[in-house]
Amino acid sequence: MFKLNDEGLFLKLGGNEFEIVPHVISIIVITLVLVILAGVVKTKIKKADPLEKPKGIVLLTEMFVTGINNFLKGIVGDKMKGLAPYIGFLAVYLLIANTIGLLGLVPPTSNLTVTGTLGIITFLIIQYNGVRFHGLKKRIKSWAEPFIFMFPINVIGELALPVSLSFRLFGNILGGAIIMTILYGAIGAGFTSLIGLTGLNIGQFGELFASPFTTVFHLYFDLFAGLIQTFIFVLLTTIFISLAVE
Amino acid sequence: MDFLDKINDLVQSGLMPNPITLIAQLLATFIIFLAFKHWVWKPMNELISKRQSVIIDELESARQAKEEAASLRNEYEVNLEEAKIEANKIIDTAKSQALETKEQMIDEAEKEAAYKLEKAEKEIALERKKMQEELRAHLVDIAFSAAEKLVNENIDDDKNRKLIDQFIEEVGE
Repeated sequence: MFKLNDEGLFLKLGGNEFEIVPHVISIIVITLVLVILAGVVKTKIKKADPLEKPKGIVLLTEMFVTGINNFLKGIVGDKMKGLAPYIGFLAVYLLIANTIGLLGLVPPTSNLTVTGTLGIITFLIIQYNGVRFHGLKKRIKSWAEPFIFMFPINVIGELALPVSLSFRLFGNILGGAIIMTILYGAIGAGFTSLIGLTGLNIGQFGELFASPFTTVFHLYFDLFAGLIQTFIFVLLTTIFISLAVE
Repeated sequence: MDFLDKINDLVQSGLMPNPITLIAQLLATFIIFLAFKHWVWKPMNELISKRQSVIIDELESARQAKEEAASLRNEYEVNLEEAKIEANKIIDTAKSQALETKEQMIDEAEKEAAYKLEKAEKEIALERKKMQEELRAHLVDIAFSAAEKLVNENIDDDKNRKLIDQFIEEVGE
């Protein structure tokens, strides 16, 4: 069923072979971690006394949950309370997914299929709630505003939303990963040739010397860009939903 | 170059649509969403609303206690005021009673004193009268005896005669 060769890991189903890209491993790891964390949080909350001052993980969870609730309330209002766990999922998942490169795993968000899936889910939530709050007729009619010939443009604009969401995230994270790879390769090659002057050939190990120089770039491309992109994705998702249900 | 291959791999694996990745991401989204919804949001919201209801209860009971305290204080103040008035009344009555009693007593004492004085005066007067009478009787006796003696001895003496006259005159008063 599974096949591992030079090309990578493959899953054989019927007559087809599907490649299991390393991003999938990251997805599975993050999912496991988050589910276990949620389970721990659940038992901790169940044990917590509502009259006691919350502390530790319960306090963090409370801050996170009320933060997301208030964030959603501030943008969408009270209509979409059920959406809070999804926004919370996006925030935590994207934060970890964007910055997991620091732990040596491949960031799942540097995969277009991953960001595309998230974009499509967001798109579906927007459309579903838009129809739920305004009805299908009114929703379609609103695309013909202010003139009927604006209809195709509005529809394209609507469809562009998941594309722009997913490509923005994908491009930023992949770009960061590419720049980091180039930096490691370039600095490593530099050290290899520098040490090569003494007659020693260390080959690829030159990259080991690159770490002190790449730290600050990791901070920027992995941590800062990851945080910013998480925030942008979550904020845009929430704003688009609020526009749809308004 | 080695790192160019790596970049190629990155772009290739990231850009190519892949059904396994799609399914993995869908499942991950679904699972984490459900876990967050049922294990994090629901209990946390319950905890928060439980705490809120407890706080509201506490505030409500505090408000009630405050109201009760205020009404009790009011009651006590009224009671205190009444007690003060009552006390003043009692003191006033006691004072006036005491005054009355005092006046009565003084009155009685004065009356008694007057009565006793009168009685004493009467007694004194009576006594005097009695003594005067006794004295007179006695004097008469003496006078008689003196007269007897004078009669017996030198009644003719002018001086004595005069004396006896005077004496009798005095007694006669």
